[in-house]
Amino acid sequence: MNNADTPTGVNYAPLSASPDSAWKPIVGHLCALGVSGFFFYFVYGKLMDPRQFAIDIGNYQLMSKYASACFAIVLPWWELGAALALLWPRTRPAGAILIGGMLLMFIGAVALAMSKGLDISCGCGGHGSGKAGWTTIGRNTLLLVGTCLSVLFMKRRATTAS
Amino acid sequence: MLSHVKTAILILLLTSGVGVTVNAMRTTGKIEPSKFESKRPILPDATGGQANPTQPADGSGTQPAAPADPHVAVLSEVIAQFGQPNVYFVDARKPDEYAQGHIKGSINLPSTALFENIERVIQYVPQPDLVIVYCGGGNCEASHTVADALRNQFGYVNVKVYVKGWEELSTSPKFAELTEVGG
Repeated sequence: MNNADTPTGVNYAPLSASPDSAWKPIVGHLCALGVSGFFFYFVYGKLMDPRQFAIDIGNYQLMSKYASACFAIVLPWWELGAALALLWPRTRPAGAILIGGMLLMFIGAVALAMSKGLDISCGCGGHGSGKAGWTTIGRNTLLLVGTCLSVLFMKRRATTAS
Repeated sequence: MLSHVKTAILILLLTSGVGVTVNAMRTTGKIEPSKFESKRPILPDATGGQANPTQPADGSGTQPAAPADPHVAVLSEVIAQFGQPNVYFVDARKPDEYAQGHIKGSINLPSTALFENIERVIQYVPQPDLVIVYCGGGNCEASHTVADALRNQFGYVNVKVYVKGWEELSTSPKFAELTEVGG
């Protein structure tokens, strides 16, 4: 299908003609809802006890305690903003970039803590979070997959020819 | 793709501003980065005893031993201070580990729920008194975390970390005398 074929001159990024593609946007939305839901839950715990979260970040020994505390001030809000962006289709790709980047960072931090033999809380949802270990890495990997699917299965918008 | 990256950067900037503003306006739980500096102790020497600066370790007079770190407690000091007035022990491990065994009279202040449980310490421990914090020993960070918070956030001036912690204590001949189960 090209410009010459459409009387209005509108180019459509082609959707698959297969009936199977009807479920993809639904799965995409569900993935976005699920990932955002998880992040809202984690953010709530961090905002309820921000000083504990600052301590939890510091325990990873990736930066100075001062820098960890500064990071703890903004990170929950980054997560909240990214989760909200993921819900709205217009900003979903931007939200996915942020969430994907943060999840990769969390996975790397936990892997590093495990390699150092640190016995610490993951700090995932504020105090009471589980230990930084394989469960954390597994969960974050699943969330990363969900984030990717939420974007890959997005229903694409019509684009007007210039 | 570039527009999405720009949107992502915009979200980061906006939410950073919100975060800083909200933190500044907090009346409780405010993060003050200057209060999170850590005074990690210099580990004691391999013999486990506090190094004495006036007596060289090998007696030869040629190699002075490392000075004692005022923030570190060793087993001999823990034994000596046990039961003394104005000395308190704080167990930084999780509640289930504390329940399985702890120093008699110690206060459980888990590092993973520090601010939630700090009243246990504030209510009973005067700030000038000696506080010795311990956890599992080895790579356990909990005792350092709790000690830093007691010094920086809550004004305790005399805090030491028993670095080798429960791991060493459990092998001590004084173990049964110093510890109890439950709580």
